[in-house]
Amino acid sequence: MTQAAPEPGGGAVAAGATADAVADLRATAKWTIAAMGAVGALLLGGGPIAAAGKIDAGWEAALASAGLLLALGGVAFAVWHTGNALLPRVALLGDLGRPELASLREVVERDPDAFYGPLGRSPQSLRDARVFHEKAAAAFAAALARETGEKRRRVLEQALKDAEANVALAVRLERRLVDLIHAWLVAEAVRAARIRTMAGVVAVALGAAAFLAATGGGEAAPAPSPTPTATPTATPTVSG
Amino acid sequence: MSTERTPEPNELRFTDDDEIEIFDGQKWVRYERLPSEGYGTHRGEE
Repeated sequence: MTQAAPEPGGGAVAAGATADAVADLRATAKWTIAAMGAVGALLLGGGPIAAAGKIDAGWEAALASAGLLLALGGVAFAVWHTGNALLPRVALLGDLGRPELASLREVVERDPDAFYGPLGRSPQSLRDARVFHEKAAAAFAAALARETGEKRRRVLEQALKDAEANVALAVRLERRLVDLIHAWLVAEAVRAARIRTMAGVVAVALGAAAFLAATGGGEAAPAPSPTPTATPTATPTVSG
Repeated sequence: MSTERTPEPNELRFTDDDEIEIFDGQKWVRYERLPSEGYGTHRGEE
């Protein structure tokens, strides 16, 4: 299947592209959760149990416990916030005005025709235009039902077709803009989750360092005892 | 004194040459099909 060329004067926004972007973002979030889950499993695995025997009661036990709790808390924090990014999001045309969508507004303002077509310069004007053409279609249909003159019936039939085409255009532009708003909202949620995940990773690192310090896991392995090396000895020579 | 009533939004009327006009709430406009291509759309996206 060959890819058709973009329409002249058009942008490069395709409906499929936004759907793919949302799917990719959600996949990224799922992988992040899986990775943090693996870190959590590692922390709760054999390491702490094996190291427990090395802990003396007192400050070492407290430090090890605090470190383990901090690390697991970091994992839970990251998984929780990344999971929030996966929650379904409702996108509305009016959401274009939200502060976190400033970058999308900038793109739209750069080429309003590409997003609103002939139907205004704002989400509200796009919605108003759709309603106007829907009501026009209804008015044409009602007038057609009453009209008996042949010539006027033909005019009304054509007007009804035009109104239906205009409604379809308005709906298509609205839907595409809502798709973009939705993709931007998901991207923002994933971006915010990524920042919190980094905070969680820092907590994991600090907690693991504290645990290792308490259990001595971070100590360098004792150096192997020196083995006698065979030094070449001089072969006595007998001179004489 | 004029007795012409104010038209309702979306009210229709035929002109003398049997073209149709619609009142958009402010003025009578000839109803036309809008160009539907070239607005950042991508052929085959639907």
